[in-house]
Amino acid sequence: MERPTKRLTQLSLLLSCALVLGAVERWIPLPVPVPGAKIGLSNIVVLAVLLRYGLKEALAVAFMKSLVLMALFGSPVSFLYSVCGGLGSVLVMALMKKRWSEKFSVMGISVAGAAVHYLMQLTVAALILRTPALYGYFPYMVLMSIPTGVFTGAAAFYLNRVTEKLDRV
Amino acid sequence: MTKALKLTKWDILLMALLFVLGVGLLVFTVQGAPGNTVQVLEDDRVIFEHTLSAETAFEKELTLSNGHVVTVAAENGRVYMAGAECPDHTCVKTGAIHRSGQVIVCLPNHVVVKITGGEGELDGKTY
Repeated sequence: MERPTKRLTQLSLLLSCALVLGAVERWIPLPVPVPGAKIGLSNIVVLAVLLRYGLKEALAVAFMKSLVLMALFGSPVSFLYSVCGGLGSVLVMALMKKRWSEKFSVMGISVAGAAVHYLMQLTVAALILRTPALYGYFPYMVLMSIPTGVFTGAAAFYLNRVTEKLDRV
Repeated sequence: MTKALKLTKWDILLMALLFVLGVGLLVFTVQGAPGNTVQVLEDDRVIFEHTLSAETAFEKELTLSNGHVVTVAAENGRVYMAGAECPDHTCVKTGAIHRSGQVIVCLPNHVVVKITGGEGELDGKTY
C-alpha cells in the first residue's frame, strides 16, 4: 500500500468495478413502488474503498462514479440525486467507522449508509420537484435500507478480502 | 476492521430501530382518509385538477412542456397513471391512490399526481 502507483491502479480498478455495477443495476428493478429505488450495488465498492483506503478515496470514487454514469446514461438531474446520495452516505459511514468501529460491523455501517443515501436522494428530489409529499416514500426507503444495506455491507467485506490479495501481486 | 463477518448487537439495534420507524410511518400514512381532489403538477404548476369521490372515473391525456404525454385516469375514485412517456414507467407501476396525501411521481417528467382534501376538512362545495 505504500507505493502510490499500486494504490492508483487498485483504486482505478475498483472505480471501474463500481461503474459496471452501476450500469448493471439499471436492469434490476426493486419490487417497491418508489421511483429510482435501487439496491446500491456500486456502493459495495464505495464502502470497500472507504474501509480499506479512507475517506478521501471513497469520496473520489463516489463522485467519479456518479459523474461517469451521468455521462453514459443519465441526465444532470439524475447526477444530482446520485452525487448527493453518494457523498452523504460516504460521510455518515466514515463517521461511524471512525467513532464506532468496535460497535458496528461493516453491515451496520452499510445499513446506515443506505438509509442516508435514500434520504438524501429523496430530499434532492423533493427540492427539485418542490414537492414535500415525496417524503411519503420515506417509510419504504427506510425499510429497504435494511436488506440492501446488509447485502452491500457483506459484499464489501468479501470484496476487500479479494483486494487484499492484490497487494501481494 | 474485524476479521470475520458477524452482526453485532449494535447492528441489530440499528436495524430494529429503522424497521420500527419504517413500519410506524407506513401505518401512519395508510391510515389517511380518502381525499376529495386530485391534482396533477408539473414542477409546481397545477396542470390538471379534478374532484374525487367514490364514483369518480375519468381518463385524461396531458401534454407536458417537454412534449411528453402522460395519461392520468381514475376508476371508482382511485387515481392511477395509465401511461407515460418516460424511460422507467415507475409512475405506472405505482398503482392506484385514493387517500389524502398520497402521491404518484414521474421523476423523469417532473410530474406529481397528488390527492388532497378529504375528511377533517370542510366538504367541497361547487360554486
